[in-house]
Amino acid sequence: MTDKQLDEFFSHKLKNYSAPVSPDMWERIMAERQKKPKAFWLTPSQKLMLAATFFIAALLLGFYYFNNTSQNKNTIEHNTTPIYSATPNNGNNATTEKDNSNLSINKTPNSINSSNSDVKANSNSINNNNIKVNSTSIFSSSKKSQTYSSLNSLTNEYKTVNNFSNDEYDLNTSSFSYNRVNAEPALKNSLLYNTNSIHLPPLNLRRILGLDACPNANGAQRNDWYIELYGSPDYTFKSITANGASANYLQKKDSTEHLRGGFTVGARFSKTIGERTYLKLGIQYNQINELFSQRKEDQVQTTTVIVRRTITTPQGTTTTITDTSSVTQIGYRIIKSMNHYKNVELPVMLGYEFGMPDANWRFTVNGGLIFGLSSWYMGETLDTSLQVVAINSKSNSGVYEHSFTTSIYGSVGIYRRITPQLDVFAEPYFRYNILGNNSLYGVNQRFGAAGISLGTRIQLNGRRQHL
Amino acid sequence: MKKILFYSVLLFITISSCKKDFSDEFTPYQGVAFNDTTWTNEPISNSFIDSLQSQIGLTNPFLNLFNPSLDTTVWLKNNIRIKIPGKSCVYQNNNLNAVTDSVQLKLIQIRKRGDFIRYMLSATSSQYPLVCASAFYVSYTSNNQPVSILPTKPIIIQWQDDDAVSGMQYYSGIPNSSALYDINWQMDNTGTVSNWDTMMNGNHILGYTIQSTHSQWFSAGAPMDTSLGTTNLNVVLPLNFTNKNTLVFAVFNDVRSVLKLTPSAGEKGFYALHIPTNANITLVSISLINNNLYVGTNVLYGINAGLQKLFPAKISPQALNEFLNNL
Repeated sequence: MTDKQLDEFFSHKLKNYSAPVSPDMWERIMAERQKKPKAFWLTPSQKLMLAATFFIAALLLGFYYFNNTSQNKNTIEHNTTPIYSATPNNGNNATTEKDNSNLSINKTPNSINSSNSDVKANSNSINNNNIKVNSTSIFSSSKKSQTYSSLNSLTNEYKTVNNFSNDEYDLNTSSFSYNRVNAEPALKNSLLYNTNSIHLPPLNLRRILGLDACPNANGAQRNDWYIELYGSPDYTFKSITANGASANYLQKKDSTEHLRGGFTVGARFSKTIGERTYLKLGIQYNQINELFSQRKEDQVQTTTVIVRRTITTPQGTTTTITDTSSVTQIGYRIIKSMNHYKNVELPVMLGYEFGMPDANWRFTVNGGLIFGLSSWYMGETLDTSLQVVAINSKSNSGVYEHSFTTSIYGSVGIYRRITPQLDVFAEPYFRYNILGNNSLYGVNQRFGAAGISLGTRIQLNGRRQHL
Repeated sequence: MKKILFYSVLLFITISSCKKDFSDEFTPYQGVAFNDTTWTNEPISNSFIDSLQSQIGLTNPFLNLFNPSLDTTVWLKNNIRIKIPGKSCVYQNNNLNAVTDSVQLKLIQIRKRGDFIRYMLSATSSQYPLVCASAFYVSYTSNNQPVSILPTKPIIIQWQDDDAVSGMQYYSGIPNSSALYDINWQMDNTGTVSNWDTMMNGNHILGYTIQSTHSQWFSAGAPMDTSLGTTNLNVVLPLNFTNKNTLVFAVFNDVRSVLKLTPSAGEKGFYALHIPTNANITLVSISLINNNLYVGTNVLYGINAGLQKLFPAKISPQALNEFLNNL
């Protein structure tokens, strides 16, 4: 019997055969379909939290990376002296020598002629007579008058300092003028790459992201740490949507609950990234107050009253008796109570500052996310039978599900310098809860707020860091 | 010192602001009868009585047409017999003209304590309590004209009463006002009361016979025993229950008597005079407010001159009728 014959035999025999199916087969299939994956199953809010965590982590790692990179590159620590460096970073630190002679730069887009005695520039000149440099002063390859065809090598190390007087180094000339016109094309060409490597230059993400503002001529960049203490009165608002609740319940709930503002107090650290960008991270306490007001009709109130009554005795005399009586009245009752929603939150945001760092007035724009770390509430609300029920997150009468809340945040800040280390600021802001809280009564409510944060910013350090 | 003052003020503000977290404001409805706690010097309104009696549900009076020219005997339920002598009816406007057309008899008998309350009657004679064997309301009309009974030909009403006692006297009800219920029992000679007893099927049956020429209310009664002394009965209720919406009765548990207490706007209470100090009384208040009935009861064993209190509670008409039937 060949294989074909065997196949035909089974095909013929089994043509009309139907295998019995277990009665609970469909239920098992459905159970399998509904079964949640054992790993990596997340609710939407958890997914958002995870994404936010990754976002923050990426920000922090990026920040760390950029900081580290710039520190590694600047192995020559300047305490700062006006330095012009045109040395390619080939693994060897630049030659250093004391140089008290005149310094001039001859710089064209394609070549740089540098001499320790006389550097001629086509249009840009740096005249620095009698610059006294201590032993740490560095001038790169100045003696050999090297010509560098690699423009990138130049521009990466090209620093601009408009003012580089430094007493420590006893600079006779405190003014360092520099015309950047011809330097711009070179700078633009080097925006995308680090040029300090002899290998294929890596992408310069700092510049792509715009975090790398123009460096100072002395190679220093802001590395400021601040702590900001602030408080804000909040105008709050709320949106409620049905998540199973009836329209009547929503209407009743909406008519009984009226927001009465709130406040926010907090502290956050602020760290410069580049010259104008800030990363801000802190902790804040936020409280939202809500007036719960309900009018109840046909209410009965009984009041105890003291009544003086005059009664006549059988003898005809009168006696005054103080009688404790009561009076019951029918009317309406307005019950008011204050609900409090309290949150401890983690604001994470990026800010960009306009204005010179030393200016008296500066402006910032900020944006980010506010993550709820902990929340609790207390007060009253209506249940689905429209009866007033107490709500308290710390007891069994909790109505709103505990969930991590996340809000988007945007603000504009105005800073006023008081002292070199102290600013005051006013920061109008807006925030909105993008997830909301679900209640047991089938309602999702989201809070938002607009306010103006008033606070102070204290500079923790003020050193500049060389890249 | 300034710091202490500052922090004290701060603490006070904090605490006082916390207290404001809750408020409960009650506002009474205006124009609602229940909230009206004022008393009036006017007698209780007929409309109130009508509304209350319609809620309670009065028993229908007995109505019968008879030929006034002939002697008429009518048997009613509860072993009541009425004899009306022939040619005893004359028109009230002209006593000389005998009524020859048929006459309609309307008769109401008040025997139970609850019936006194239903008809808002008080067994008092000039504010002295009476024991009342029974009271009757009789009226005659012919051709829509009121008819009287000749003084020489009184009607006779006989009824069975297992608790019949001797010494009952005839009282006629003298209206204090046009209101049907507002009467004062006054002993007079327009009628007589006597006892009867007989054997029927081997049982000794007792009863009363009353002869009366008086129309409207008359009764068989006797002054209450006050030999152990009397006192005043003063009853007060919560301030919502005033003389505009409430009647208070003293129901004697040992004798057949019900007193309607007199309202006093000055004292904002109800009172009755000459109450035997040894009386066992059930105080009953009936109120009608916003078409809701309220009843308050209080049983007193022995009376003193102090304040007696009633605390009415809402009750249904059916429950109130049941309560009155069992008094």
